Amino acid sequence: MTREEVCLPFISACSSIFDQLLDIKLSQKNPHLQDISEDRPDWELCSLIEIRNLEDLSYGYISLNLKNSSADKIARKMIGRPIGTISQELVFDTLGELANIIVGNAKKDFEDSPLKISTPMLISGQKIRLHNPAKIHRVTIIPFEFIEAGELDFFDLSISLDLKYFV
Amino acid sequence: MRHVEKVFLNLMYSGLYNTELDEEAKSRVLFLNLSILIAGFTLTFMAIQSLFLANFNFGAGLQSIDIIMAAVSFGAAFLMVFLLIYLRRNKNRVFISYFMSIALLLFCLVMIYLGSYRNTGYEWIAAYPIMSAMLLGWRGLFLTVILLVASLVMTIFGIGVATADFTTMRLGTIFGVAGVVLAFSIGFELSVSASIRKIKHINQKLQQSNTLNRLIKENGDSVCLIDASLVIQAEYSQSLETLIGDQDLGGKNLIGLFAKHTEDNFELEDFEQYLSLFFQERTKDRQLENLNDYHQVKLYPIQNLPSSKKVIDLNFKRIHYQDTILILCFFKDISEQIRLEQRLTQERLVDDQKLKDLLKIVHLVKRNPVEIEEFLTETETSIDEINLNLKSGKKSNNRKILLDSFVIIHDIKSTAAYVLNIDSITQKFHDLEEEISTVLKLNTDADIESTQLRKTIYSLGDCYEEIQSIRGTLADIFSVSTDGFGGNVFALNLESLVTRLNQKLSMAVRLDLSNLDSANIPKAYKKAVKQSLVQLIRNSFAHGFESAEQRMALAKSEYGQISISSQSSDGKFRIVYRDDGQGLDVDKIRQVALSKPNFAKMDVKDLSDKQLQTLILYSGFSTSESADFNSGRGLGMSIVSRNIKANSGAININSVRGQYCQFALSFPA
Repeated sequence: MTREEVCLPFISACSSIFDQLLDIKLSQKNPHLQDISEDRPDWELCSLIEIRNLEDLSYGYISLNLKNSSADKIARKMIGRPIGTISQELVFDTLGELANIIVGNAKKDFEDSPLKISTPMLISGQKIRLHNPAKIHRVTIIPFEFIEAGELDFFDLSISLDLKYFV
Repeated sequence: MRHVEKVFLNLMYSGLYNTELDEEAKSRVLFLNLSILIAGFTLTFMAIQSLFLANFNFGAGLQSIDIIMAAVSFGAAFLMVFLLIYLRRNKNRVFISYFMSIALLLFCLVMIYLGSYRNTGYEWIAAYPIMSAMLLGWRGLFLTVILLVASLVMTIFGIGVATADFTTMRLGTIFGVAGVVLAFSIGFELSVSASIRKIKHINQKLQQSNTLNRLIKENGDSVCLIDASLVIQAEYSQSLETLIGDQDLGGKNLIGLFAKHTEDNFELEDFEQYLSLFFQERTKDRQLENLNDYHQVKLYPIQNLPSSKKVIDLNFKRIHYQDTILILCFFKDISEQIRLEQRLTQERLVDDQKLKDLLKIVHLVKRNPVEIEEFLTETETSIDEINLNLKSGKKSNNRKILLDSFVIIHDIKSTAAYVLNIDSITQKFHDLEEEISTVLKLNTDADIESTQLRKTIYSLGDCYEEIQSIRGTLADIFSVSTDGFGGNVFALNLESLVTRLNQKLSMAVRLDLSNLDSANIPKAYKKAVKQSLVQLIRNSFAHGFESAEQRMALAKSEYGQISISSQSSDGKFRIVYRDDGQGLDVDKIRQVALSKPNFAKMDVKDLSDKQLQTLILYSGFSTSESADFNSGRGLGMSIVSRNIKANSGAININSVRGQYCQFALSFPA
């Protein structure tokens, strides 16, 4: 299985869910590599999706990473409350739900595949570093930018796939 | 089985009866046993009647011996009926049954002896064969009758019973009853034997059928039976439907199904011919096995859909069933096994290739350690630069980035292929080159979208991982070696880089490593230090040094000087890099920072010279007006910064305009 076959459903799901559910048009920036040890201060909320192939035990993950401020904006848009404060808990819940919808949408493309896609797991904190089970030195980053409430904002997908199995 | 039913079934065979027979057989046995019971109760009735008629001498007055005899006879008759049922319900009591039968015979003979007086023993002896049959079953009767006749003769002539009592009528009664019972027993036995033969036949069929069903249902493979016209029988594994991709297989022709679900080049006629051999008795099973060429048949459960392909191992067994020959077909899905074998072979090939490459690299390291180390470092740096260019790139300049990258990648590939002869690296960079080439060809005029660069990035990642893999293996090998990638190689590598840059840029720079104890650089920092020093050297060549004429005019040495030193103190490990070039131009740095919107929030005007100097560590910051792939994109120093921060280190910049520029890299010890 190619990495593009694994990643494309998630990338497409992000674009279509943001567009249809949140009315936010995503713009994809140039992909790049990122050293696994590199700190990312802008990763304050990560939604981790595990990918396992039960046939050959290959493993990987795709993570949707963003800042708290971006998560706040997306959550407000999603629950339709642009003004006023919303609790951090509600932001997490909303982002968790959004990640669920994205994964659910992407999963349609894996129906006949031996790949098992986990439900997303939300992680919050400062300078999040994700475990590297695929034993690679650099993860692939697919950055997205969008304009919400008149401000330019960002999030990205980080992809770590076992290169021995995903060509 | 209910208890009463079991008792009745066991009656006939003295407890040896097979209780697993089918309902038809059971009903036969029950009927026969019922007839024994009826006979038993008839006997009891006859015994009572005979006692009353013979012993009670109506009108002559009742004697005490008559009462005793009546009581004994009456009790014995009933006891016999119920005792025999008790005895025969369990096979362990067969011996007791025979013992009882002999005891009964002796009792009858005693009764004859006593009956000669009262004439009652003859009725008993006449009834004995029936009672014996009840005890032993009809099979035991042959022995019983022989025993009876022998005993009777011995009793009459041995003991000396009055022969006058043995009238023809009485002897006729005794032997008549014995004869009838014997005849009945023979007829009964014949009937039972016929029933048993039939039951055994039915049983055999059932067992065969059960075996087949069990084989079909419990076998891990998918199984079916086909007859001489190669039609699948009604009983087959349900999993076969999934495997072949057809429903209701019973009654369908196997060849017809294969015509639908195999590849076009599958030789159906050969297959049919092979199967027909199973129906020729003269063909031996071993020959058939040897001729089986169908251990990897490709089946397509969904027609014309290559992805549904399954590889099946077909095996056949000839069986004789109900006077006909059938073929038991085993379908085993070995798709996964084949896939794993193929991948194993592929991985083995890759591993072999890697091993070959590794041996070449080890040879290169032995021959010229600088060359391979320099190549790996240069390649890493190039990948970093391409990556950073792409990261900061936009749709409008993606084409230029790819074109520039293409040249670099081609250069690396050529070096890997023709100079170093390392196939794995050559292949990875060739793939990357092809990927970039494809993207460039797809968009000859238009801007290249970010979405089109994903495969390029995957491929770039592969190249980086390949380099890291080689580095890791070399580190493993030479960590136990005394002459491998040690400190000396580290120094040689830097010297080589300076030499190469001097040649490439026609400059004259000398490298002073006299205070660098490269062997003592902590292993954890070696990579970061090496990459950082490479970038600093490249940076000095690109921005630091004046031309030879300028240096002469400034009363400096004609030769530029780079000195690198190391020291460990205060719990820290430090590397100090210094060049005697023109130093950092803080005015220019301020000017550039002011022109860049990224630095607008920093309030650049108010920054001190020291603070301004640190701006060169930001990605994309460069004072150079034009950029080529050696310098000008502001990437080199950001690589240094990233390397140091990744190791929790710090950079201190100290520069005096026109005199020197110094970078102190410190790491926790």
